[in-house]
Amino acid sequence: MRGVWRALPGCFLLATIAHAREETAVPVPEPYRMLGCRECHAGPWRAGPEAAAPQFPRSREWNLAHLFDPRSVLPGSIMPRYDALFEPHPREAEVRAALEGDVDGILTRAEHGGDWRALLARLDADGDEVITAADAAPRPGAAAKAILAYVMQAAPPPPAVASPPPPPARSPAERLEAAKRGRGLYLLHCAGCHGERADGNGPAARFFRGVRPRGFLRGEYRFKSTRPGDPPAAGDLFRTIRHGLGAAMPAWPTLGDGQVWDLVDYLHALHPLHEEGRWKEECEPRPIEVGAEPFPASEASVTRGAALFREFGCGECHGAAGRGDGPAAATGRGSYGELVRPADYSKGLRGGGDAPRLVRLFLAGVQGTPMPSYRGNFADPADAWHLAHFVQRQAAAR
Amino acid sequence: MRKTILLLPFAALLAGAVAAAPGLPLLAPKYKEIPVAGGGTIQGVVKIDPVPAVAEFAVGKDQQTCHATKPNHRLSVDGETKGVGSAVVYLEGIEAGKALPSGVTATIDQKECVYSPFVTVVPAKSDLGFTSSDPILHNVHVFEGDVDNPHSLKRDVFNSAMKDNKVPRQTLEARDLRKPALFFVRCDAGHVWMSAYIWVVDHPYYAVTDSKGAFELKDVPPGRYTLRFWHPGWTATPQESDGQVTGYSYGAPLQHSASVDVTANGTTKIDWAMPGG
Repeated sequence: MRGVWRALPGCFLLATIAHAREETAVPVPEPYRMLGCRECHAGPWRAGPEAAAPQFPRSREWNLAHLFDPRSVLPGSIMPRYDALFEPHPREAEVRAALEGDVDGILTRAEHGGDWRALLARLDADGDEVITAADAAPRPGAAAKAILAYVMQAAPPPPAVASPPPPPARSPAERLEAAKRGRGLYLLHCAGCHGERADGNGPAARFFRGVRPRGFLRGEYRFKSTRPGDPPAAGDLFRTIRHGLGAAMPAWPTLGDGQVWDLVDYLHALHPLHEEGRWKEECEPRPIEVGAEPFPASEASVTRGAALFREFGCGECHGAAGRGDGPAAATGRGSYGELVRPADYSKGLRGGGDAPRLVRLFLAGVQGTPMPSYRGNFADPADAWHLAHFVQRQAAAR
Repeated sequence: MRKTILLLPFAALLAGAVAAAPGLPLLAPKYKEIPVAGGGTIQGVVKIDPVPAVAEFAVGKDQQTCHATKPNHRLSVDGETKGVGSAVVYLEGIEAGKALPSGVTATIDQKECVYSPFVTVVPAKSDLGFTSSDPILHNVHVFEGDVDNPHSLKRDVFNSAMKDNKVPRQTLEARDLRKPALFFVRCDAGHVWMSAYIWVVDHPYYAVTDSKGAFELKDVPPGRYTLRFWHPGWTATPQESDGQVTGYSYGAPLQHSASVDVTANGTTKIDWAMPGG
């Protein structure tokens, strides 16, 4: 019936009124109705997806940037800017002024081109405080927050995380062609956060608190199954793109497998250890093989894991209860010199909490962060599994 | 260039940036090993004048192992001679000379929460590893940097935890030791004053000054060269957050160039007086 209404000129208004009476599973907040969101996102126009549709990216940061300036994250969008729903940050002028001066030891102006990344770790010469880009991003007002909350809550349940399909066999020349296609997809979907120059500095990046969007040119990846210093496996990147990371990086369920593999080839091509469609000598990613979980998480295993947690000094950063508040937690820095907080397990285990993944993480470390590889520290290989069981117990005890 | 196709129109910008990047010369001609008979010697001392007063580091953690304060190890000056240790002295751009030593093994230890040695120079394709003599958690975090900016954190190369002094020696990957590079090392386990530097070099005419500031380069083919001096500097500005020192921001390294003539079987003496102000 809606189609009929749409086809008849002048009936849009009636159709919109009819839609306004529809109820959704999550109550629609007033701003979403009054500011015209439903006109396009639920009305007969259907210019954009419904809030409950799977292709609506479920990332708080992405949605803030999209509301502020839709074309910054979605080139070609016809949605108007809702920047009036945001308040400028009181420190914005100060932060802009900081760009004109020398950024202490991290990036010179010639390198960052006067953009927000330079603010990531600017340290006042007197050691007063760290200014980050999030300190000066426009702040959402009440209406923007209500819209954001609605969009995030209206999400359908995410599909189960499946193992990635095997990557297509491609010659180096085919990989370069795929990388070019991937570049096109990247500009359309990814550049809003990750930047047109793949440096983690897109227009949406300033809405990020703490962890920034990844800058791919450095070739550093946190969530991978390969040995320390090795590039990520193709399957690791597929999994991140397809399923997201449960935080700022959303899932992209509407991209086809072929499109995701094209993006993977593009990311590989940007990696410093990749050249002309293949990995450089000795730089092939080597997976960390840990095998299946050899024994379940019994009380004895968890108790042994607790002793290892103390012996290995995990609590120095992660805190005795895994809240990310240990004595060294405040000093951790990432690759841009930015302060990095250790994981707080009470918020869940990002990227998956199964024991094999945790053991791989202990052995790989998390590249680009203070979390080191504990290879060489496990006198008994079973200890890695005991430690994994203890960490799972900490995460469950929220 | 991997980026020329894939990041248009920034290809030109990136290509220019790579070629002009300061640091170890990426495009230097490959060093040729030739027999050197009757080579000369370059000797000298690196001194500092006046000797600056350098504040100690405050130790906020693990004081039973690290002690309550730490002298600033980045500047080590001999009391009598004013000689400065841990300065790197090298011939810039030498194209042919004696063979690079092979089969070299170097180890950097962590003792009482300080890396020892502070500055290490190893030939390419050597074996470089880390040990710990401390019964507490350290992690050895190695980043690639540049000669002019060792703290540029260009690449996260290596990060290995060492929970105590029983962990076996952990080595860098061979692929990271194949080409000339400069590495900066730090600890993330709250020991924010720890720092070390590693040079991977592709010719053997490098020396690190000893505790009296002395260096010697032997078997140099006669000729005129540019001798370069490099010291990582000692200024360390504390970065604070909530009243806690969360790290140190180091200044640029001190560098110096001198033209040197080497004669057959002769000894050329050349010193560097580092500005201490």
